[in-house]
Amino acid sequence: MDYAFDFARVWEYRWVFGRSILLTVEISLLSIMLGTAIGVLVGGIRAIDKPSAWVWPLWALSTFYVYLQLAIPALVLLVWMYYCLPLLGIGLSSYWTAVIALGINLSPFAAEIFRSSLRNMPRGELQAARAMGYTEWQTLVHFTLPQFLRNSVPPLMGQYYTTVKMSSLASVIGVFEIINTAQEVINSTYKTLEVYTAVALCYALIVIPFALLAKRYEDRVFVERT
Amino acid sequence: MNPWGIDIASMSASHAGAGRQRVPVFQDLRLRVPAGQVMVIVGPSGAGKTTLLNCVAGLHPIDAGYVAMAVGSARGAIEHGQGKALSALDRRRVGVAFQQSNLWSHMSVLENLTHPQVHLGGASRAQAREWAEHLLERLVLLDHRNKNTQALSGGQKQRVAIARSLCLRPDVVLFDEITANQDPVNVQRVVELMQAYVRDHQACALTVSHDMAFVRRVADSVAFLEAGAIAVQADRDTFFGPQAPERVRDFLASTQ
Repeated sequence: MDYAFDFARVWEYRWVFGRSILLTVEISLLSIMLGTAIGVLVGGIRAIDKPSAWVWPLWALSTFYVYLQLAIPALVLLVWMYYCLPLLGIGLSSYWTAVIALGINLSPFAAEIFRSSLRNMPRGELQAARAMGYTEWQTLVHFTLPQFLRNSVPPLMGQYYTTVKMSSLASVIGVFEIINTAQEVINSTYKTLEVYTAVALCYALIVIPFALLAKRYEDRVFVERT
Repeated sequence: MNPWGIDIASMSASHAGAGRQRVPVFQDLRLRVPAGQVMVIVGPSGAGKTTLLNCVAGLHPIDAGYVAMAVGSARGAIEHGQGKALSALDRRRVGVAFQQSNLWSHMSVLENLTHPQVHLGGASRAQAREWAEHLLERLVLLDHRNKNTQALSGGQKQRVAIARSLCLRPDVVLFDEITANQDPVNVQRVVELMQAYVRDHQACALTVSHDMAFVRRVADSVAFLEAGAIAVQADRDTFFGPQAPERVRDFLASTQ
């Protein structure tokens, strides 16, 4: 192998990459918020045991939504929303198309995590809190919520990383995230190897700090339940 | 006014049966425990012992009648029953430790005992810690205070649950099979703590147990529950003595 690496040439474009990293983080965070919000709603409805006649249509709709979105690839949803929605009279910028598509793509996973967390609450422990004399509100704050977060945060984090990584798909609809930036830099430097290596490092730069933060939180609250 | 620790008057309760039917567990059940005493409920499986405790603890609905506790105490009586649930405030005066220890798994052993004192009892952290450590020490759990509750053995968990049930200095304590996982030395420690607590706080304990060695040591009086009714109620010596009714002697023979 006699390839002469020239990372100095790529380093000149650090601010351009920096800007696209920021854009990636922004799109990821917005879609994570959207996907989590939809997940709370849909997962909450799906967690209802034996839905009554009034709730059943909502329950069925949520279930249908979850299975449909589990089936559709993020790329297909993204492309469909970008090219087909305008034909239906809904014109969104590529930025917002990416946010919404990635959010919708995350939502069924978040919903299933929330549903199983709600289903796996330690009932005995909550009853012990009630028997001790905690009010409903105190039980929620001191027992239900911590247990719920403990159940859902670790698996949720894995899904959030996936969303960050899938934001690279937004390149196909022209969002100026890391991949498209890289393409531009290659066009003017011809340093394919160095640039795509830098792209990989950029994602590591985004995801690893999040993972370390999550690890700290998990170490603090996550203990095995028997 | 009699200083009753627990006064169960004409209580009825039921379980959910098939469809919308209710299957009665008790009808018109009466039981009184004087303050300062430990009463143990014994009886065959399925007699309704645990349901009885749950009713007194306000964790199972009462269809008719009522339960009065700490009658004649300085803090006033606690009453609940048909159409009147036990309030969160009154629950703080009723300590509960059940078969499944149900310790809070997101807290340490010590926090299981201090959190209620600080958030419900208005104790300072130092006060809460002092009382918690005293209770843990009585059950030789002090060395485990900073552990996660999941790191404990079944017997240790159960003893933490016993200590926790006393953390708010309740007027009434309700225990269900709390010695099931204890070795004899620890059963003796539980007996001593219960008797000292009931005596020092003029409290009253109602306990369900199958462990007759434990019952003989801890009980002031014994109630024999059979098919949803108190068949026999007697002080300990009479209950275990030769004068006991035949059904009691048969039951005791069957537990040997």
